[in-house]
Amino acid sequence: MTPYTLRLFKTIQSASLALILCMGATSLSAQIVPTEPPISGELEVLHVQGNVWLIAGVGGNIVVQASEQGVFVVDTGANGFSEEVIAAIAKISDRPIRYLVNTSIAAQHIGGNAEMAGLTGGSTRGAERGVRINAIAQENVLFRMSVGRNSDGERIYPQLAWPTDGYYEPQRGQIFNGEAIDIIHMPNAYSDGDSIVYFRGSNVLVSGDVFSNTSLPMIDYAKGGSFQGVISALDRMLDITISDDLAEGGTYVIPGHGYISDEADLVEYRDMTYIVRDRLQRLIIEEGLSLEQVKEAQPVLGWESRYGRPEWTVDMFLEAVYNEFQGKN
Amino acid sequence: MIKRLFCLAILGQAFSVHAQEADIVGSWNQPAPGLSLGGVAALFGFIEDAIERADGPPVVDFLGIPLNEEALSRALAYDSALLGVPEHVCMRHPSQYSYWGPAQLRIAAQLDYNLDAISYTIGGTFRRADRTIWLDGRDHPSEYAPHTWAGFTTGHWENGTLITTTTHLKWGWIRRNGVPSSDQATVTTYYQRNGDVLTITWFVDDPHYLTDTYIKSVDFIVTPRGISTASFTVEAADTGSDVFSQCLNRAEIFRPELHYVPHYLPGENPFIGEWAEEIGVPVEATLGGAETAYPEYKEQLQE
Repeated sequence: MTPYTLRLFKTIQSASLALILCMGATSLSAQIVPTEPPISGELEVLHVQGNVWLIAGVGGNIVVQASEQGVFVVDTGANGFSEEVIAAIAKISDRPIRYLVNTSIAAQHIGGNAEMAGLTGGSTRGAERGVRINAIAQENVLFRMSVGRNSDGERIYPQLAWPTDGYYEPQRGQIFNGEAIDIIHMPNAYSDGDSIVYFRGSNVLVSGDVFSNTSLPMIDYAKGGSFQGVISALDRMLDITISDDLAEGGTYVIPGHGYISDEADLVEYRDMTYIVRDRLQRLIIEEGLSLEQVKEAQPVLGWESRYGRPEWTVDMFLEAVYNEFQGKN
Repeated sequence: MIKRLFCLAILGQAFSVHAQEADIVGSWNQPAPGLSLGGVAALFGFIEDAIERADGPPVVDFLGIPLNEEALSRALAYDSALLGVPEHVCMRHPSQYSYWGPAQLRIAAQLDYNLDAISYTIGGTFRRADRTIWLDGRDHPSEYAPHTWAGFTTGHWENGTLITTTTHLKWGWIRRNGVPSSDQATVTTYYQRNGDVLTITWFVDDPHYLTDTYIKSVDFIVTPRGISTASFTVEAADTGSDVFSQCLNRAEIFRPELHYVPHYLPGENPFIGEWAEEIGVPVEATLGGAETAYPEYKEQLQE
């Protein structure tokens, strides 16, 4: 397939998907969309290990890998904090930002895309060398950002904020700063465009919103997310992580929101999703309970206080996942 | 209120015995039958703690634990087969619990140029969740910093008692039969030395699982000849290993799928009532709650 036919094919593919989405818009609009946690606005920088740092407090967690070749950034935080974020990155490294990966389309992970894309930077290889930052995301993120419009028909996302490289393979790999980096698609988890990023040399895994230790699983069904997809993604991440001796340290996991975690923390969260899933299967599939009856049965009891929050309550979570267990999503 | 009274009692006792810092550095062991230390061990009963220091407590025995309905839900979902899956098999005892379980402590001090202690390091709890106690006034880490089995601990001396605060704990347990402790728990610990006895009392506050402060105390006795770090086998499969902290994260049970989380669904825990029947108390007593921690509860049951 020539580059031209490939582009044409992808255009048709995108148009078809848009049509499908438009057709489903009525039913999708009723679905609950998860809201990310409140933003503290107090930016903090923490060295994780190896060449990797965490920038926290300005929306979703931002991860920076930096060394001789430049800077590799995962996610850009919430809108309105770009100046602080770019200044914080400059303190970590005076090298240009070469790559950006968006783990999903979640607002607190792409909010600084446009400002970062406007910086002098660019890929360190290929035809894009030195032109601008190479912004990578799973192709569904690119698609949704490029077609997204508000009720007045205006673009939601400025073109500069779009990823420049929408990958469609199950996995993308590259070497940067002497370190192998895996960008892996997690199908239908938080959404249909989720990526996790694994820095092999630094041994740091960035999960995006498929794992946040601040809340129950956030699932955006309108964008192709699913509870089972979240569970599968958590299991997949556990296949990658290796704990240091006695279940501590080793691979560090940077969640979409919350504190730097390791495998044991990920296990605790994954276990919760299994138990809640099994409870829901019994209540919804085996006993055929209504949504209200399911709420009364408290299938999340044990984690309600820890993970329920005003913007993404236990009830919202149950309302979101109920249809999936009925096979309606 | 009960916490405040307990604290006053501890500090009052300490003040009457030692008005200054006591040296807690050294090797400490749990008093136990067969452990001959000049007869000191005989002074201690070895009843309440024996099961914690050996195979572990009975399942569904939560008597005396001020757990809330969320904690009870998790505790009843607990299936001990969980400890046989690779993801769990090597987990250490967390600081919410570790002094109660098997432990032989070696406490060391790091000194500044005035010979004042900057920190203590306490090693020797099950699988070595070694605890560093910072005495230099530093702050606790960022809310985004990693959580560990030992947690992050700061402390100070007060009337001969070392008082410490531990945060940044991992999810864990306060009893080794599934009573959970969250990653938001805080542990306040009091270390008192009285001659050859080190008494450690700790208070667990957990906003997600406890309705009241959970309080435990244990005694350790000085071990002049030091401790052996290979003195108990970590796992049966590790027999022959003389490395105290070694553990292989292997599967010890049959797993129907690669990722497997053993647990009981609500109402399906087969062990509810087993321990109650054995000790002759109503089932609800073994399900815990703050009221079961008080002496009056016994009278309530009799009524």
